[in-house]
This record gives sequence, structure tokens and C-alpha cells, in this order.
Amino acid sequence: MRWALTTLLFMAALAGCASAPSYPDPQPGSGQILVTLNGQAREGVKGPAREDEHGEYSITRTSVEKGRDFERVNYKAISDVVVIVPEAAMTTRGLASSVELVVDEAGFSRSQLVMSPGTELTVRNRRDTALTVLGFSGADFFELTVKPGASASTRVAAAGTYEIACDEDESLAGTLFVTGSMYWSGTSDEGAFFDALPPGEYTVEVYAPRLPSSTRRLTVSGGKRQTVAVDLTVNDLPKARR
Amino acid sequence: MFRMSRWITLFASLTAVAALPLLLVSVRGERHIPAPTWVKSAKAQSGDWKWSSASTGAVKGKVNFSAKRPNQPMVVYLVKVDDAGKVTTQGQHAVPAELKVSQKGAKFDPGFAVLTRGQDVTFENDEEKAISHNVYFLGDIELDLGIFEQGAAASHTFEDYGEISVHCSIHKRMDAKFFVAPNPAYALLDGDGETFEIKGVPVGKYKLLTWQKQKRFKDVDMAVEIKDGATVDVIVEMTR
Repeated sequence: MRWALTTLLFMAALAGCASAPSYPDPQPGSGQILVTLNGQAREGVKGPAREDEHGEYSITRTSVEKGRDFERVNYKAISDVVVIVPEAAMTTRGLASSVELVVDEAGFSRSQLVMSPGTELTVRNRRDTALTVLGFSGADFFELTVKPGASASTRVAAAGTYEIACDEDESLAGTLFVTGSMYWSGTSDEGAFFDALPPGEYTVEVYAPRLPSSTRRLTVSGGKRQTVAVDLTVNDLPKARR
Repeated sequence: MFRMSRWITLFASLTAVAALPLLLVSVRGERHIPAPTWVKSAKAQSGDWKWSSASTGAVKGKVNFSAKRPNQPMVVYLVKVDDAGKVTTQGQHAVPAELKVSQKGAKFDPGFAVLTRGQDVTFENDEEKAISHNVYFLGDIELDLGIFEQGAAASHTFEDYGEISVHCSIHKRMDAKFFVAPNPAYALLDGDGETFEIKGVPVGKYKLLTWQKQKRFKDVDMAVEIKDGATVDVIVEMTR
């Protein structure tokens, strides 16, 4: 009984760790950037949350803007957010060996991907027909023909932002960021943590699918962590007069 | 023309990618090209000259593709330039009727449209149930039209031109794509269209440009001069 209780407590502690990621303390001589992504309503926004039969993940709220009500929207969750700190030149550190994009009946597994130049991109076809998946950056392109149930790979050498499309299914669309920066994160909407940054000026770029991109300028000092909170929202778009 | 030459700018500056306007910072070593960096500052001006009173000519041509083309529309369009080749006033021209966009079933219909600068678009919330919609634009024009209830509508007049992706912030898969041409001198090529003819173009110097709904070739930017009563023949080479 006591063991069971201990195990339960241990598991609860583990769950606690998983929900609140902890980061190492900054070391003297280098700094850190923590980017937190906020998909929830901002300060000053009031009103009840509301969802309709199509509403997969939105909350609409009303705020007072310039003396009148203006409805605003915030996402609850957004996946495939890409965060890039572009000044940091690429080194051999931190390179992912491969990046995978799966195509099944629902579509692409990811709407945004990020990787370093020269990384292997694998497209896995879980449909029962052959697919040709293409990427075009405006200057460079790749093309992969993937048999049903199989996968195909290519190395994308040139940095750039590639629009990914499919010959057989025009509804498939994605974006591949190939960045020469060694600091990037493309995992989730939980945020991004960059450690061991040489002190200096940095730019943080945040790209979320279907949202305006966000750029922040900041100074990193030795032994310190800079936290940047980015709202994933359409709130900051210019508003139409009505 | 700055905005519409986004892709062209991208090609030209690929080796010196720091030229992109969003990030005017010194860089160390290699760096990436940011995501589509839409330039929102350029405005298209009508000017005081009228298309209806101008002498006109035409341009016709064929589009060649260096590789298999997607079954997707593309636009060949003209932008008026001055003698130095810089984008100038686009003239006063007739504007097509308002485009009405349905939102029934959380779907924009039409989901793709080519409009002319000055044209109105109205998004109608014609849902059969009490469902709200929002409309916002990203791309060359960024704007939030707000949220509107069933039975309500939101309108916008496109004073500028370029590519606009249309989204609803409430509904994850509710998207559309518009291209707003700077003036009436454009041709829309369907997925298998390879020839075009643009008639009734006021005489003068233009840039002939391309826009692809699905980007797969380098967009073209070539000089064209329209002469009174004449037709200019061009070959548009779409390459990677």
C-alpha cells in the first residue's frame, strides 16, 4: 500500500515535470532566450468564450477599442510554430539529421517545418496512390515522387522558405524553412528555448501558420535569460473601419 | 511595384539575403531567408489619366514552362511604369462589380478570385445556423475585418494590389486566396492555359509580370511597350 502510494506520488511528480518544462540556469559568459507563445486572450480582453459546431479551437471575445466594442479572436492552440534566431551563424552543432513529413488521408502531418541546409527531408506516403511532393523557394526547388506506402528522401541544400505542394492533391500545402541559423525551434506551441548564446543583439522571428509573423529585437547578456512573450493572435492586425 | 516583385527580389537577393527589409541587422556568416516578407508600404495610385480616353494597343503571347506545370491558375498582368522603368500611376479605369463571397458551411466560396484594384468584396455570413465568422487578410494587404454574426456581412475595397490570403480566425480550415491586379490589363490562365491576349491597354511603357497561385517557377518581370493600334507578341518563359 505504501509502495503504491509512493509510486503514485512519483508519477504525479513526473507529470508535474512534464507540464512545466524546466531549463538549465544560464552560464556566465553566455545568455539564453526563452520564447513563450501565448495563444490565449490578452489583457484587457473580456467576455465569455464561445464555440460553434465548426469551432475547433477558437475563443472569441469582445474588447473595448477606441471607445467601442470590437470583437477579437484568439487561438487556443496552434501547432507547427517555427521560431528562428537568425543572427547566429550555423555550426555543426544542433543539426537534425533528418526531418520527416507524412502524407496520409488527412493531409500533411506538419504545416510548417524547419531545418538546416543539407538536412535530409523524408516524405512518407501513407496513401494508396503515388504522390509527387514539390517544394519551391523562389530560387531553388526539390521534387520527390513517393510510391504508396513508401518514403523518399532528398537533401535540401539551399537556405530559403519553400512552399510545399503536391501534384495529385492541391489541398496539400506546407512551408519548409531552411535556415542557416543554428538557433531554431520548430516543435510545438510550447515555446522555444535557446541556450549558450554569445552576448549580443538578436532578433527572434516567430512564424505561426495562418498568422502574421512576429519579429522581436533583444539584447542577450552573459549569465542572464531573456524571456520574450509572443501572442499568437490576429489582434495586432490593422482593423477595418465599420 | 516593390510589392509585386517580392519573388523577383527574392531571387535577386538570394546571395545577399540580408537585403530583405524586415531585418535590417548586421549578420554573421550564413543566414536564412525569412518567411514570405510581405511589403505593405507601397500604394498604388490611380493618377488623373483615364483608360477610357487613351489610345490603346494589345499584348499577346505564349507561356512556356520548363517543367511540368501544376493544374493551377496563373495571372499575366501589366503594371504601368514611367520612362525610367519605375511603377507610376495606374490610371482611372472601370472596376468590375462587387465580388460576393459566401461563407456557408465555414467555406469561402469562391475560394480563389482575381480582382481588379478598386473592386469591392463583400463577405456574407450566409450560414443557416447561428455561426459567427471572422475575415482577415494576410499577404500584401494585412487587415482584420472583424467578426460578424449569421446574416451580417463585411466589405472591403481593394485600394492596393497583390496577393492576399483570406482566413477566418474562428475556423481552422477556412481559407481563400485572392490576387488583386493593379489595373484591368491582366489575363487569367487556367491550369492548362498557355496563351493570353490583353486588349485595350493604354499606350505606354509597362512591366509584364506573372503571378502563380501555386509557386513553382520563377516569376517573370519583362518590359513591354504598348503602341497605338498595335499588338506586341511576347514569349513568357517560366523556369525554375
